[in-house]
Amino acid sequence: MTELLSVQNLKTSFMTREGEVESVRGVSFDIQQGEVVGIVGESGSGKSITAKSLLGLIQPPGVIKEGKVLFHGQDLRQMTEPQLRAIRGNQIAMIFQDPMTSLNPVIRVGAQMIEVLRRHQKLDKAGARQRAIEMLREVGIPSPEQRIDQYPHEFSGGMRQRVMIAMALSCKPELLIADEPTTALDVTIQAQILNLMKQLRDATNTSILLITHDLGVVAQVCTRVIVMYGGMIMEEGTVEDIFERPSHPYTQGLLRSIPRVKEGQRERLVSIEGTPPNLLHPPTGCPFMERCPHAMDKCREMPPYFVPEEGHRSLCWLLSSDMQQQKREQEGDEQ
Amino acid sequence: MNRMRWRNVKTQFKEQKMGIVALIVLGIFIIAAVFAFLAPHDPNKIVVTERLLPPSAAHWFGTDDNGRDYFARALYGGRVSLSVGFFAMIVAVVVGTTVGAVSGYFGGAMDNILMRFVDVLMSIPSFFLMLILNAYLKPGISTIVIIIGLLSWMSIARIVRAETLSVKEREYVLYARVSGQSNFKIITKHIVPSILPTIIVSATINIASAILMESSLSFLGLGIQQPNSSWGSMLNNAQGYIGDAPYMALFPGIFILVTVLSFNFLGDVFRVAFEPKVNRR
Repeated sequence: MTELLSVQNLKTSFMTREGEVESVRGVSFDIQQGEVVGIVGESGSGKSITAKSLLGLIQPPGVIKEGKVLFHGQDLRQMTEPQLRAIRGNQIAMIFQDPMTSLNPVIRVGAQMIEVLRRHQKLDKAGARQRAIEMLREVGIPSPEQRIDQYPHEFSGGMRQRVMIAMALSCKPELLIADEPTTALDVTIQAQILNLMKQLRDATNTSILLITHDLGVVAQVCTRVIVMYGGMIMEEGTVEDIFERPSHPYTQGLLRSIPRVKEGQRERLVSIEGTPPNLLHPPTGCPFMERCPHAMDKCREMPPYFVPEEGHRSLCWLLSSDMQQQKREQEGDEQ
Repeated sequence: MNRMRWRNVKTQFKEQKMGIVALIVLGIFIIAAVFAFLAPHDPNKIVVTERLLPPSAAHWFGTDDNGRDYFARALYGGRVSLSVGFFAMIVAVVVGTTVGAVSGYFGGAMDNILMRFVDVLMSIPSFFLMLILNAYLKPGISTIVIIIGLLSWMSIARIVRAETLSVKEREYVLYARVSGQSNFKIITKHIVPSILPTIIVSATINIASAILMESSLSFLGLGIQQPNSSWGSMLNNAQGYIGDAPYMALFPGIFILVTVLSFNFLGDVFRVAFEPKVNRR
């Protein structure tokens, strides 16, 4: 496995009238070839801004202040617009949350697909059309020969998301960034789309960066998970690490707040108290401190990443060797 | 433009009878202007013996102070007035749409500079600017077209900019960027087509005001020069004979009025048709 994308210390801010809103505050992560990485976090945690920053899609008043985005070892941030344009849609594709609005309502679906293909794959009109039809068939759209000449409003939501996926994958990208691809869809369609993405990943070995707030989705398709909060990565690890041995109180809180159905039992849904930090004046210490049940004095200082096991890191003082020692002692006392 | 919108235009025409009337009137005027050469008389042929004749079977609209057939002159004048209106509108729409779309799409400093420029142009009374420019430039149809066009694009630019600001936030525009489309293509393929209805509405209204401007300029003797005529210059000419031959003022005056009114009605129909929910009355 080789590193496809490496993000290093990415910082993105929005210059508003009230001041600088630090949406992404130093995010670093890697994506390997063929991997499905999930970024989870609540609204405003910076996950979508991170994704948009990768492709240089931040528009004023937003600014990427710092950081590197290495794609095959080349920094996307150093590239000129034309160079970036050659990569966007070709090597890195992106799909969005709302398939209702991602397609231009006044242009036929086929024409939109063909345009992308012609630009990147240097196909002629007939060839691009042929390829577009194949892609539509691949994502499970019945009678693609006819559907290709229809307008977006003639497709259902799920079908449109299939079209978007077909469009995104038509140039065989190496990385697909999916920004909440299933949020706007109902649950049955959601499962279908996730399965489709998994199938296509297996068939093409495309890496996927999946951005979502739905832990269920993450558990279904991802191999690795990044938990974001307040513009920072709180915890990162494999799906097993995160779901079975969450080490960060925020992740633990998130997992507890998933509604569970138990027979004959009525439980109150657990939620994390409080609200996310104001990124206009971000806290200097741990961003989760205000809401953390384990908060202590030390949390006013920004913790470093601790590594409880290989490939698993967590931004929390609880994992420092002192604290671990204390914990062990306490457990010893109890026994 | 999709089919839905055209269907709306059709139903709107059915609902608003004035729209159909306006369309028919304009149709007649345009056909008359195109086929002006079929007029029974030469518009510029001076017959001194037939000065200031009232309307009759031989001269439908009478004759003017030089004994020229007024009907033929009105036809040719309509040709000038309508084409000046049309071409000035084209100039204004092209400049206005370009400036508005670029300003709205790129935002930031570009937006600021362009929009302040628009503000400055809008704060100069354009009619006086027109008078001054006209004094320096060689009078003629193309000069008038360019002057009117270049002084009336600002409001279109503002409207287009505002619409662009909202359209560029749509996800398909973002998607187009994500899929590597160039800015030029995004503007021409995604932004301008989505705001075409707005452009059509302001273009229609713009024709009306361009015709009015041309008439005013010609009325002041600064527009179309003799022996050519436009409705405005015919009015100017009619001034001196208002007591003897009131029909000389009446015909071009009515034509200007009806044309401008029709374009305004048409603009209204388009506006309601393109935004059926917002503007239903």
